[in-house]
Amino acid sequence: MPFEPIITGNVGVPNAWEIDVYESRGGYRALAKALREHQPEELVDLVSKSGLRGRGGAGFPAGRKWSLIPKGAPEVYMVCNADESEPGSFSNHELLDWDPHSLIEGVIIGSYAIRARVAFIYMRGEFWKPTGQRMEAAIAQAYARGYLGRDILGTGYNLDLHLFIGAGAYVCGEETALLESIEGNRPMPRPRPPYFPPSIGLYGKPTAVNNVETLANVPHIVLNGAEWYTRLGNPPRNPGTKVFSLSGLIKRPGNYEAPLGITLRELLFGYGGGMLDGRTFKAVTPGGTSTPLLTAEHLDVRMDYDSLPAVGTYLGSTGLIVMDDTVCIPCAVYHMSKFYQHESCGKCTPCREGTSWINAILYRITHGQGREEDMPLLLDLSDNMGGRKTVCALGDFAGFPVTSSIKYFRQEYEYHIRYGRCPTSCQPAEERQWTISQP
Amino acid sequence: MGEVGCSARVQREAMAHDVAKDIAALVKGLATTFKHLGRPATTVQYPEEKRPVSPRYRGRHMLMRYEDGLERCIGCSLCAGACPSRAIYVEAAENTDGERHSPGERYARRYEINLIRCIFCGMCEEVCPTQAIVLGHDYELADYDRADFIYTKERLLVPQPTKGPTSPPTPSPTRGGGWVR
Amino acid sequence: MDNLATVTIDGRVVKVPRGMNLVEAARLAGVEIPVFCYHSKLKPVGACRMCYVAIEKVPGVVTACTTTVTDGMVVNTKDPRVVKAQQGVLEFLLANHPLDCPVCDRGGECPLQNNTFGYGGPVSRYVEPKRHFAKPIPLSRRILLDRERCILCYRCVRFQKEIAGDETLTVINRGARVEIATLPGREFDSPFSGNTIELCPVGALTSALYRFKARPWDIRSSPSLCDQCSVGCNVRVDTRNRQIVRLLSRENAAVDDGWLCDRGRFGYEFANHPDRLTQPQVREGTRLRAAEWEEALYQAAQGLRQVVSQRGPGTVGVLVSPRLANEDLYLAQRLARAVIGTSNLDYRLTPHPTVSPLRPDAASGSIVGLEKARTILILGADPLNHQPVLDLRLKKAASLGARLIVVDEKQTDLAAFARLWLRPRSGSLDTLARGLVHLILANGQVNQEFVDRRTEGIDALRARVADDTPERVAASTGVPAPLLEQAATLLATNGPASIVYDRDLGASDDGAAAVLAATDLALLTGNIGRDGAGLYPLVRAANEQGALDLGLMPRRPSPPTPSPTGGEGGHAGCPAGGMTGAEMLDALRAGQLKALYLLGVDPLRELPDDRALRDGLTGLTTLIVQDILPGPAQELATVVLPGAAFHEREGTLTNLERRVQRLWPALKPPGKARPDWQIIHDLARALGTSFDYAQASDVFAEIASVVPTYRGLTYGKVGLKGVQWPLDVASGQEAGSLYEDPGDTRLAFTPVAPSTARIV
Repeated sequence: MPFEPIITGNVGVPNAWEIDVYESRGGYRALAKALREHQPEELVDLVSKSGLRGRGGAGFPAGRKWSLIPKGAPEVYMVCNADESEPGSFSNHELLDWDPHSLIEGVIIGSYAIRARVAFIYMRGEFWKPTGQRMEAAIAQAYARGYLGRDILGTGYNLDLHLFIGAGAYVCGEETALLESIEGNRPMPRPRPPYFPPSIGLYGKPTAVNNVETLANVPHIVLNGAEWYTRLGNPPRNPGTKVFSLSGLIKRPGNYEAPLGITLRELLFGYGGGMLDGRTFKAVTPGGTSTPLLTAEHLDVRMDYDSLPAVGTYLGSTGLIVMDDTVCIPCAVYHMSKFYQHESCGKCTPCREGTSWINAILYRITHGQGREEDMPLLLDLSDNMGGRKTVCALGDFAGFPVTSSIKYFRQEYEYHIRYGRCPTSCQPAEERQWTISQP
Repeated sequence: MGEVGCSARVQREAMAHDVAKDIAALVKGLATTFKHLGRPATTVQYPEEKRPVSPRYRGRHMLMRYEDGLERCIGCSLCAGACPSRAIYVEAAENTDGERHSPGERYARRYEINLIRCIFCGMCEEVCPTQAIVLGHDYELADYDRADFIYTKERLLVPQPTKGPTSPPTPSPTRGGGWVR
Repeated sequence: MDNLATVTIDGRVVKVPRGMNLVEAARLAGVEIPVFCYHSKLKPVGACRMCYVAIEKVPGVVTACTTTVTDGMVVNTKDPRVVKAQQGVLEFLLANHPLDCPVCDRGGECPLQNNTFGYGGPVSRYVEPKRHFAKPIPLSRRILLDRERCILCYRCVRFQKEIAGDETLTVINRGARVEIATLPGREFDSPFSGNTIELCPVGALTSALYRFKARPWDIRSSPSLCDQCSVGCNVRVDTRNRQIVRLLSRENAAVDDGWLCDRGRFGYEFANHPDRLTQPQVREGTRLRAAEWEEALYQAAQGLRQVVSQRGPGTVGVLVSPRLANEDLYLAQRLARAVIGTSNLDYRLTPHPTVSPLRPDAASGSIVGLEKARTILILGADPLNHQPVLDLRLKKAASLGARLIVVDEKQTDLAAFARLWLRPRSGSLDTLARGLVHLILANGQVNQEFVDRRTEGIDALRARVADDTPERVAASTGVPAPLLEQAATLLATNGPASIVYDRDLGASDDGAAAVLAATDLALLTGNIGRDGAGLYPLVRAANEQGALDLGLMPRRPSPPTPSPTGGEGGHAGCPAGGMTGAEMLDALRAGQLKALYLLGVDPLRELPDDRALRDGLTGLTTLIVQDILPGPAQELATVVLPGAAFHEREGTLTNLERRVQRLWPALKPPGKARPDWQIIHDLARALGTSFDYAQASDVFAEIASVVPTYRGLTYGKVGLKGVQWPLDVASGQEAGSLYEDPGDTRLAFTPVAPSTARIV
């Protein structure tokens, strides 16, 4: 399939993060066009018409999100969520690394569209070197060229862009926790209602929070028009492309920009080069570990925001961790559960206690101390944490790998419980680090 | 006179009958006596001798200890709360590392039962979370002075276990690792 | 209808205000929704996830605390999904919660126990090892934290941030390792820290003082009042073994809003002190010996009689504590004026301050009225130190949108919450206050309608402040003129405005003039006599307001003395003149006083190194000391009479907003000690009067009949929540604000120079 990459076009170009290189490749033309030729409302319409959906995971239409910002609000903020922390996802990181200016351009256009005067890029703390430093330099360059600051390109539009480096917490990827973090508070998600960022966001003001990829798409839509965008991918509801992160036991791991709606088979066996020699495909996390697993029976499912929910999972942040027949699923899920018990912020009870409880049960199961009643217990605990019973979705996320793996690989759990060892030749998980007794 | 003679006869007959009956009764009675002559006596020579009581008999309370000599009582006052005759008084204090009476943070500094008020219902035993208070088999509770019916902790507490030389005295310093419930 | 929403909760239809959350709405409907993190005084956070409900047409379950009602909402709190989710939450909470309820101070009154009993499942499926922390770690001298028991509802952290405003507690770590902690290197040093103990829904935060003292079923409770300061917070006294084991808040929204400061909450130990006076004592040679009441009272009466007959009543002094109840104070002044015949009577040892000329001499508004204020000028007052719970109310007003203007050279606690903080140089407070008056006059921001209708003397005022131009004021106070301008504009245009100042401010020269200017400011801007607007001279001691109301000072109209037949006898027999407390101390030093009756006051405790004073006390013919604890003056006393503490007696206290509130006896006084009013009554009888009060309420009934401002008050009316005087006898309504009624009498701008405005 002939395919021209859109947002990863600058990845791999030498010094693509320098403003001269970026401009020489057509950078900041979209900004000039947007600011000079469009009213903010027209831009919101344009993005709405393009059908661009939020790339953060939920797939909420970006144009609709912007249109929810109340018109005439005196103070509005634009926040770019660059806190990519999902296990298995690394697409934003590469984009930020190579192409900070395209994000900056997208942020400026987005801010103009919602009439924000201040914008933030919230970047994960671990990205500081070199990504954050490059972004800092890029913002300085953009200020120097007059793309940021007062009277941008002589249009009278003012915008200040701040790079905010987080301290490294998975939950900061949740937009309200991210806003708390920018405000200087402990990042704990806010209850919704009443806190709904488009009406009560950063500092209690209307705020648009958009993902890196979403904003990186915006300049291209401005340049090429909504019509062009709606022809890409899997229209009408899933236009455009998505950068898929392939990792795990696959021949060619890496980021691949592919049209939405591509089949899992093409993604894994076409782009990814297929399984390692002599291995067979067993399971994959379609959108990072926070989404239910897919198995070999799902190889022909189309990877987009509507086809995956039909098979009980989500596109999420398209971090595909591939597992083949050598992987013991309970051990893999145990590792995932360790991540969630470590990253739960501790605000609401089910997630705080449930993630570590599930982790403890999986530890027992994978270390030869499983009990018959553990499997129904795991399912019930996942139910008590999930189904929107927690403030943010982390409670649901932590349960997804558990419930889906029990659904598809029940016999592996039973094997573990009955024989006390892995059904595959998997290495036993290391000792559990979970004693917090202290003086 | 015939009348009289008749009645005299009747009287004589009746007398003979009575005598026979009396003798029969005497024999019957003595038979019982003789029957028991050979058997062991059932009289209990209290106080030299004491009858055993039912295992579930509710006599005077005891405050128990763990095998290592620490008091079971943690001074939680649940017994005082459950007592229907308000006969129990508990004053708690904190165990320290240098002076440990019971596991955990808390012990009973004062523990008193007013046995005049106590109705031996066993609710205190029922409610005790550590099985510290047990109603024993001691029922000889008479005394000369009303004040002596207030049983203090010293009188209620069972003695230190003697078996094994390892039992530390109570209170004792906290051992390494500490107590955690 | 427009601001009410109709909701159905478990089949019960209720109308509740729009915007109310579902927990409160259910309370109104008589349905209980279990909560841990939710508290009606704190912002909902939805952390504990206990308050799940099912709402029709809404998928899944939602938390009631973060859901506001909408019209036509149908809520089910007993839905099977809700029941399962709540059981799940309790199982999660108990997974790591230690089962040490028997040794936990919260056991028996613990929301976690109650909710588990009411909503929990039968067994826990948790078999893993529990999380362990070292058992309680002290967060401060007063408060211990048991991190194992903490269920992380964040109520304590939120209280410190939202209500106390000092953020002394924080959260550290993540997930199941989360802990409540103080800031690094600091202890939990908030003056309101004790409230977190009551807020804590488990036994995680416990009081070091109450630790292991009693269990809830060992305790007897009685309503009472805190007597540490003039706010008069309502407390619940918990006693065991004839000792106070703890004080808890007894919420009175009008006074304390449900909070106590640490001084009040933990400051009860004097009442339990082993040295409490339990027996009257009389002097025998060089030492005191225990005596019976009859003997002690006879000796005291003889001593007084002797001095009065030999040296005249003018050599007798009576000093009373402003912490004593109204009943004590009233009888003390009757004893002094009508029985002994002296006006050497005072409740303070320091000179009296200059006060606002408005009468009555009291705060014109109410504490709760401050919440309605849009602007509050805080002039040389530091409520955090003297009226702590009022400090919380001012912070609440600020969070409700009031603009605070703090005028203080020191950085007071409220300065951080103020819109404007003006820092006049030491001694220039009056210049600044007059400067504000000048600005309001010069800028034409005067409330002309109010000034024309209700006041007099504005022209003289205009002339008096003519020279206080912003430039001059800025030069002499060091406060920039634009700030003055902003303050004046806020006061004049952002009404209603209240002015809060320390009543003792008037004791200094600049403070006296500032107090008078504050009155002018209130009158000029019409900020008096309505909710949110008023003048608040803050008194300090628990019943200082009562002492003012009952005339416990010389040269102030005393309450008329009732004649022995019961009618009002006017001021007959009430001697003129008399010395203030400060003057009495001087007279003592000069050896001019011969007898002194100290009621709860010990001048030597205030001035321990004053040798002349000690000599004066030593030289007294008769020194009667009535107190609850030993003090230095008792060593010199001829008679010592043991009084009762606040929780051992009946009586009333009047707080800084004129609220008369009741004390109840929780315990009997120790030993042979008696309530103070009874001692004064007995002493008066020993002096040959026909005083005849069977109980404290008899004294109060007489106060209500002779003191105009207390008219209509009875113990029954005062009740549990207190009443603000003056009571409108016809309607039974209490007055939130004084000077409401337009009436005939006009309010005068301060007509005089400060030096002549001194009252006493």
